[in-house]
Amino acid sequence: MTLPASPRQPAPTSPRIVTRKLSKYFGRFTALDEATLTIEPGEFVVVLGRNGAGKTTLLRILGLLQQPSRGELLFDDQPVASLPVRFRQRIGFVGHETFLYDELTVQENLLFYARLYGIANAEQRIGEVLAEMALEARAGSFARHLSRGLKQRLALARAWLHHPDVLLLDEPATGLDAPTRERMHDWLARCHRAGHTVILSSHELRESLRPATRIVLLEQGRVAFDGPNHPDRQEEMQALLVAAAR
Amino acid sequence: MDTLRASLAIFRKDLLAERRTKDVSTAILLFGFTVAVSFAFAFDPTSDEARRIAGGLLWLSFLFASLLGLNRSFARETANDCLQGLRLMPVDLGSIYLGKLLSNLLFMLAAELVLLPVFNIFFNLNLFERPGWLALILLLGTWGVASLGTIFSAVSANTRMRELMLPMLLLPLTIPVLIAAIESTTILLRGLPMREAELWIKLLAGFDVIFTVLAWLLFDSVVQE
Repeated sequence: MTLPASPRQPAPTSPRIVTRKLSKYFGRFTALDEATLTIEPGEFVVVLGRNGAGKTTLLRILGLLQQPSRGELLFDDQPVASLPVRFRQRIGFVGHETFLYDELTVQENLLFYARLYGIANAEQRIGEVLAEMALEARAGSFARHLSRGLKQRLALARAWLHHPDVLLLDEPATGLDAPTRERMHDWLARCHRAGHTVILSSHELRESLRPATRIVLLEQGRVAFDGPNHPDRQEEMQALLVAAAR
Repeated sequence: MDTLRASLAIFRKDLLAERRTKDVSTAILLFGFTVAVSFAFAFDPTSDEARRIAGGLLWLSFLFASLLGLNRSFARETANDCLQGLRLMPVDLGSIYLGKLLSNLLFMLAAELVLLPVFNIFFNLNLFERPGWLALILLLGTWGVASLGTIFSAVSANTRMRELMLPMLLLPLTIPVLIAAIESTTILLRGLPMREAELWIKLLAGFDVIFTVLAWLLFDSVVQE
């Protein structure tokens, strides 16, 4: 991925995201337990936690894919229920699944989503995104013929197609090899520098910490740690997180 | 405008996917053809009685064949969790329903157009004597089945017993549509004046509008979580 600075795209106006005592229950299981967070526009937040800690649930609620059982979610002080459907235009989401149609080509998948987003000059925008994700050579390939890593890059392209203000990425490095993971983190760092809010979940402590400005650690659905990241003090940060997780 | 644009995008996507896989049309056609041929051998196709019941047989074979196609309709959206991807879109979720309804309606009508000559030959009918009325009854009857079938296909897509769930939900509710379609088709096939079918056709149109509007409004809650 070779993300160039995108001068043609307008500067993002990321919303302020506030969660107040956000909880989510699945039957008797508490996936998220009174999570309270304030994410300022343009922050790069890494949500860390073990499997089942509540990372996916938190991201799905922030992505408006799931409703909390209790608590409040606000975007720019507006409760989610009062937001118009067009607000979803401001969010890009990469989940565990790719949301791609196997029987369509790479280009057709992106064109389908571009039509739903109502993107003007869709062909041109798709060309740009394919170039950013280094997928131009695979534009005519069927999604089902792509490797896991290429599918993940296409999923990123889909989430980035409409130039969202907020990027939500649930363990996006899954299936990517080390050099591609490295390039993805560089790409995300550039998105962040351009003013986009990036919220990324991971259980890979070492790699995901590097580009983050803030770390949220979830432990059994609760926020166990929430503080700024110090990329120059990685060892110290890791020790702090390991201690918080105990 | 956004709703129309999104519905058309989904319709075009389904058309393209179906052109590649042919899984919906093949299922409808094969099943419909098998039923038509079986019925033709089970009844004496030259008798008046057979012609009297041909409308019922025609619609029963269309309905059961459509079930197979409708089962596939949202299965396409559950692969790779694409339905969640659609829920991320900045469009009214009802537009997903309208797009799927359009594509299901088209696939079902196309299959029926292929099956009609089969019935015409095997049952020695004059199905195409009044083509305008035939087209109207086919369109309204198929629309009724598709409007209910599309929303129940979405309901059953995420259940473990998808193949069983769809007919369980759909068949009882399509009875009024089926009765109206069979009655009007029988009047057409027996060469009776079409004013006798007026009430049935109006009933069909009424059911279609009510089912479509209700399903469109309820679709939002069907695809939530």
